[in-house]
Amino acid sequence: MVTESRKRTITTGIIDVVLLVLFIGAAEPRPTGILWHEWLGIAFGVIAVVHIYRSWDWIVATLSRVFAQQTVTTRFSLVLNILVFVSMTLAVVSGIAISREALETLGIEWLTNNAWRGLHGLSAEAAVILVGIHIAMHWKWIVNLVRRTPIAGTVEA
Amino acid sequence: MLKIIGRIMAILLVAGALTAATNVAVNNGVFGSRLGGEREEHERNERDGAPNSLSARYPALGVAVGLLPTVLKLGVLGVATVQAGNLAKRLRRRPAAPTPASGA
Repeated sequence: MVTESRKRTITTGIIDVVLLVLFIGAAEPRPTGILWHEWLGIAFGVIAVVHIYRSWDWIVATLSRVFAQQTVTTRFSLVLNILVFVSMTLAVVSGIAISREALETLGIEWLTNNAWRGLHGLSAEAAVILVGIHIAMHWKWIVNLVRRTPIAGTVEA
Repeated sequence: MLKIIGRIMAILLVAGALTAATNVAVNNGVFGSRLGGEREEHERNERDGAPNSLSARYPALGVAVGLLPTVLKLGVLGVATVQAGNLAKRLRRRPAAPTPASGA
């Protein structure tokens, strides 16, 4: 019997895997081509909102205790997650600002300043570093999730 | 349902505020105006991709190889962070060495 909590964990795992695949796919525009790069980036932005939404309880709980005593790990996670959010938002927004193919399809034109281009590269590079650390911070959770999959052969009764 | 919409709106609001602030900064030249002369070349490179015979022959392989640097960066950073975390834990657990005054 699969509990509600287990279902939620599996759903979170699936969303996170999709998010990671989209992130890796969107990270390099050269191999995928600019059209795929732009649409993968936009899709990433949408799924990222779902990812943040599902962490709502943690965000509220941690922010409400921001001045209270917290473990070093929790405090580090909070700062890291804020940086991930900022870098991701800037990468997606600046990507949309300099978009040529995707926004053209939708008939939107935004680029007003070339600085968006530089900002896009900078925020995307920062995002890769921060996401690497973000994933590592949840490594135990990932390992537990993988161990309990039917493929690993240790399904909970 | 209202709760879901409210939370998503809150997330988008924070992202929107960040975007608006960045837009103001960009329009006021805080980040300068980079890639002025290089813009066309940069755009051409992005559009054409990195042409080589391997990716031309096997597009899927070309994409996989092209995405490898990101995967490697994530992997190296991930492993380094996990190891740093383990080391920090081990150091915290290690008992303090006996001092001469303790009579050990």
